[in-house]
Amino acid sequence: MAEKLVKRASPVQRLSHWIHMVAFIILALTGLGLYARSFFGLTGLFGGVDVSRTIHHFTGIVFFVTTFIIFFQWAHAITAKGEDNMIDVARSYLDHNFHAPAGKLNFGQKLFGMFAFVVGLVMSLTGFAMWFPFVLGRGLQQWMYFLHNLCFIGFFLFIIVHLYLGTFGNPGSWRIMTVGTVTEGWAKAHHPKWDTEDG
Amino acid sequence: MAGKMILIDTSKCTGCRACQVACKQWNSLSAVPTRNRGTFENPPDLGYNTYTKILFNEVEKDGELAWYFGQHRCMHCEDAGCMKACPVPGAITRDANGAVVINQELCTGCKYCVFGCPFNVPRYDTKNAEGYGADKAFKCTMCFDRLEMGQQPACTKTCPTGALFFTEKARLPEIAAAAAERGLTVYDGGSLKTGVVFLLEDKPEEYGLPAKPAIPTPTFLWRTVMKPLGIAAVVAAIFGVIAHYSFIGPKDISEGDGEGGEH
Repeated sequence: MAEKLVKRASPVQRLSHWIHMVAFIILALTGLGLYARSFFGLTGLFGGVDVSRTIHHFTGIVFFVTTFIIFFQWAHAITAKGEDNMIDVARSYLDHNFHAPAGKLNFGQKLFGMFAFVVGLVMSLTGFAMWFPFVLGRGLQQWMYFLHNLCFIGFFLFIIVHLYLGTFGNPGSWRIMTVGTVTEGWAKAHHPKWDTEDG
Repeated sequence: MAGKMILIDTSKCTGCRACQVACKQWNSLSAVPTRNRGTFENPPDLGYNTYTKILFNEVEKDGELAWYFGQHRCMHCEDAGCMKACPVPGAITRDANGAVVINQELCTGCKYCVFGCPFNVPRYDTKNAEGYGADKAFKCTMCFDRLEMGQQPACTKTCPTGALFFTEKARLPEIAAAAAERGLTVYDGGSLKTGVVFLLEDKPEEYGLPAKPAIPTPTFLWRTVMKPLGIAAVVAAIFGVIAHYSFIGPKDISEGDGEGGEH
């Protein structure tokens, strides 16, 4: 019973997301170690503070670049006008018999796409400010540390939900990351208004 | 806290800067070459080799010149912004005397303390300053090493006019009462409860001190608010996801297709 498969993510989209993901894990682990006394032990994973900081800085550049690549790969779908809204999306996650009338991306995914781009950008810019802290001046620099922290927490919360919905929460989704295709049934159920011929 | 206190009676300061010299001598800090910058103030700023600096403020008072002498140095706060900001266990500590000290052996050069200080005191050095290695933060130590030997700090020891005075912090109320009789106001950092206390003849700003000293708002949010909030939010999100999986379950299309195919 080989079901018909629909292409959902191109190799470039998948590869850039994989790089982004690995960069995020490295950034989170090194960053936490550099953040507070209670997480200081994490710097030991990478061979000390200096190594952690250097890895954090240069992995940050990778994250910065892939933030742009991913956003522009998905920009068309993120900005597309849809028929669904946040209430539909929330309902579809709570009631499995209800399917939000979503296009290629549902309203929540579009929101996440925008959020990931903006936060990725703010994380990168505040990160550069922390790398070169004597450029902006005292008052502004103090806010950079706070913003970097705020965006990390926001991003981390979304990542928890994103990871769940892309794996256990919606069986059949993880293969988008591995082979880039979904079954036709998956596409019809999760994205009824998605014109799969059009991509 | 039964801490010690450095009292600075600005009405007695003559701007001789013996304290600056004594500080450098005790702490083995190198000199900064003097340049004429149009002011008696020298060196230009605190640095890895300058822990204290007398400020010269010329003002007109009753039609005459008045010179206010302030001192820029670590205030040894009980609620210290640098300690809040520091991410390295043991790199900034407070001893029993109330001296807030950066341990350059442990300092990793992150510069968080530089921006967390309400008084703009710690200075960061990129060179191999004073043999500690590159990339460390430096500031006044209240001569904690002298205190341990039962001595007073080098600056208070050397002050020839009695403007700098080393005593028990507990004596502050009595000193404040005596100062009030002489028309001086006490500046003790408010809620920061500084271990360096000024007796001022005029407004704090005239002495280079912030009128309302406080840990910078972004630093407070970053260090004190965001960390517990962030951890709580992440734990809540993980439990939320587990709850969704347990009570509502995954949205499995292959089994839900037959019954729910309303589209």
